Amino acid sequence: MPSTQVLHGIRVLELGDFISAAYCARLLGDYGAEVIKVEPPSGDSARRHGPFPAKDASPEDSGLFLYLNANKKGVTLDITRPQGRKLVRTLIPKCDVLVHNYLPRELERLGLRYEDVKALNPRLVFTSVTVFGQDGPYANYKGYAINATAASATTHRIGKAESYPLAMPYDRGDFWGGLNGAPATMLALIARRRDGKGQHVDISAVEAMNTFNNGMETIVYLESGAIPSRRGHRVQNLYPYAILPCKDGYFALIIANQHHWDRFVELMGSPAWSKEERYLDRYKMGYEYPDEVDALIKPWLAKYTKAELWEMCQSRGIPWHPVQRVDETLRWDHLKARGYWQQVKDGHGRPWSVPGPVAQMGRTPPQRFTDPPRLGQHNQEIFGGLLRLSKSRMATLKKAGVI
Amino acid sequence: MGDFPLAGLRVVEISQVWAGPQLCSSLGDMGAEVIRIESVFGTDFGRFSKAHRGPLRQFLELHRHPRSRDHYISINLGNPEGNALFREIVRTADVFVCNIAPRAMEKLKLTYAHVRPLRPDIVMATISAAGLTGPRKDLVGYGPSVNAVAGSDSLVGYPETGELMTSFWDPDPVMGVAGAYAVLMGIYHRQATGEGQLIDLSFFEVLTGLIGEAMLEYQMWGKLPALRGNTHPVMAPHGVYGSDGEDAWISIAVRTDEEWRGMCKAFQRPELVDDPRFRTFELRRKNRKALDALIQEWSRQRQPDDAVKLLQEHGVAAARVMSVGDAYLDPHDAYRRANIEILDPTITKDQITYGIPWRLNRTPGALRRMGQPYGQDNLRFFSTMLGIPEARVQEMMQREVLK
Repeated sequence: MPSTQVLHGIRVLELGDFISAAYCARLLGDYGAEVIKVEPPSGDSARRHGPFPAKDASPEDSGLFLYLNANKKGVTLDITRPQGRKLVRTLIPKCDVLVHNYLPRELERLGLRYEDVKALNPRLVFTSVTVFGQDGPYANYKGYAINATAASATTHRIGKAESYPLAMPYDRGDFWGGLNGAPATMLALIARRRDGKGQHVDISAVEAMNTFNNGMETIVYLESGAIPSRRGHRVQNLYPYAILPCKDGYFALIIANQHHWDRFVELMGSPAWSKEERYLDRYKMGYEYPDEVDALIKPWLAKYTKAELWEMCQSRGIPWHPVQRVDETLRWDHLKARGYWQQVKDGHGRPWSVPGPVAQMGRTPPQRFTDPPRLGQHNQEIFGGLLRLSKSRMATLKKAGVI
Repeated sequence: MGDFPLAGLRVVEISQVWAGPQLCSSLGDMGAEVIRIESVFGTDFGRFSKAHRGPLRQFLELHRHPRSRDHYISINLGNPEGNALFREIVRTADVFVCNIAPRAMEKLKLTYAHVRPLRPDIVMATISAAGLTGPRKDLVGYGPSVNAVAGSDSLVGYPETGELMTSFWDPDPVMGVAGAYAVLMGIYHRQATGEGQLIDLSFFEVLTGLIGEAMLEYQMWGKLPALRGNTHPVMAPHGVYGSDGEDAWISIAVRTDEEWRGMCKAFQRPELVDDPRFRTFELRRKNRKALDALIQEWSRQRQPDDAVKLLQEHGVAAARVMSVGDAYLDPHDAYRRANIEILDPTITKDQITYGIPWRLNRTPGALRRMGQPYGQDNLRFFSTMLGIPEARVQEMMQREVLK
């Protein structure tokens, strides 16, 4: 079948562990790149992460691993050993892109810095995705997702002012890094079209979040000294801009221009309080006594379900939404109708629904997801086929625990 | 002089507030010639945001996301003459980014069906809440409420009380990045084949993609994910801890036993390494409360930066919970940000608040031009690019065709 996928013919070598590099490589795989994921013989740590479907679960069943590693081939290789490193160096000339999430000091120890491998393949796009990036004072700082959202002024703004701050959920900081790796890698592939040369692409999750999340509030800080802090169930102080409980969960009354608020007051039947001077200025309400106003509208919200409120608001052009639980999002007819969900099977052959690709592309649609590789599943294809290692050589490497 | 991977590409942009403008700034920084069309019908209300009234406003208008455009023009798209001008412009474009509600696209004749006959090989990307198809395609919504529908907001809160908090408003910036990835793939395909296409981006889909793990938790466990707070399935300790100072916190995450030993060493508490409560990850998770109390006690007596430095010196992932001010002033962020080249003589490096986080060593791009006031380039653009005599442009401005 002729492929119409945009990245068909691009081969990606994925090195590293856990989320950030894996998510970046999967985004490339979604659109047809051939991704070769290199795991240590003990397996990527996402294999031990879960969630696991049952007591008989194995490293082939870990939910996080299944999600991050669809649309890939997998090989095992111990790159901390000289023989393993040598094999990586023979793989590099056959690849277009290398994605990794090692710290600079780890890369140096592995002999895999961009300067070390550039000569092996001048066309290689070498994409680094780490929390702090490959240079700067913290370049060698270790970081997990919780540290990324902490250092990028994100955690500081989630939660109650009087309680501890909350990180973004489910290792979001690592996903942020991986996501930014994808367009940056594409830019390098586009640049390569001109002169055939690759380059080093360096992504820091913290830098990406600082850049794209904080622009406006940083300027407000520089001009006025104001520091946004945690606002609990509110997003900002313009009333309402908050999530509030309703009959069967929470409803998000978020983004409200004056006319949206006016229509909402009308929807509530224009109660007497809404005509009082005290409840006319949404700035005052938001800054001075938001809880008091919450208390006035909560009884009305409590009469309706999320679905009823959603319908009532949307039909009046009020852009508010229910806070959907994950099961509601999963069952939502809209996403189903768009064919959003993809299926992947775990090691026991059980199918699971996972979120699909980031964009629908008319002429070059993303691929139907393929099941993630079992540990070492493609060793023969890659080492025996692509690298043409002999059977006896492979046996020796296997015996030595290198593959 | 910056080297630009997207030099020679022309982008037409109709977008508001954040996701689309951010996307097009990224393309502009990388050398694409961007024509930003604003219109009185759908004026970018980022320009009029009341949150930044007063002397700050002009500054914000110029410094927020819409930068690195070659042409800032305004057209009354609802006026037939204005609409004809748009059609004339789009005929010359390689890429069209349209980030307004699908119904408005239809009304203003901006859909792919309208645009494709004018420029058959155009890469057109639409950004909307729910996408262009599906039963709820006409839902109205804005970035900050997307995490509610996507299921992500239901995962943010305090496990102690079960209260949900609003999560961080990252949907717009996330879409700006994911959208750029898709557009760049469209460009890549067009360069190879000469084919354009329609790219349909839905906020809900992109953001649901960041919580695949939670979707699998629900399916695999048959129950809704519990609020995690700052805890983690495979790391303990994992959290934020109050330190010395007002609203001062640090984040710490330990995944391996080696990191655990490093933490004990940093604490000068060697006896903790083999403490029967904490010896292994399973034990540390089980005795999380005692562990967190112990770390809290240590942390409270230390300045956040000192604590982080000490932990990192011992190989432990740690970062300060920074406010936007802290992040801006942080030496690492300042170092990374300073990497950008600035071609606009009206601004200097010490005035910028963010750089280009997609760091490509060979084709780094540059901040080419600061954002400009509404319709700033009308006279020049319409006279030199479209060959309309200046007097006639003036006249069209007077008649509010260009508005």
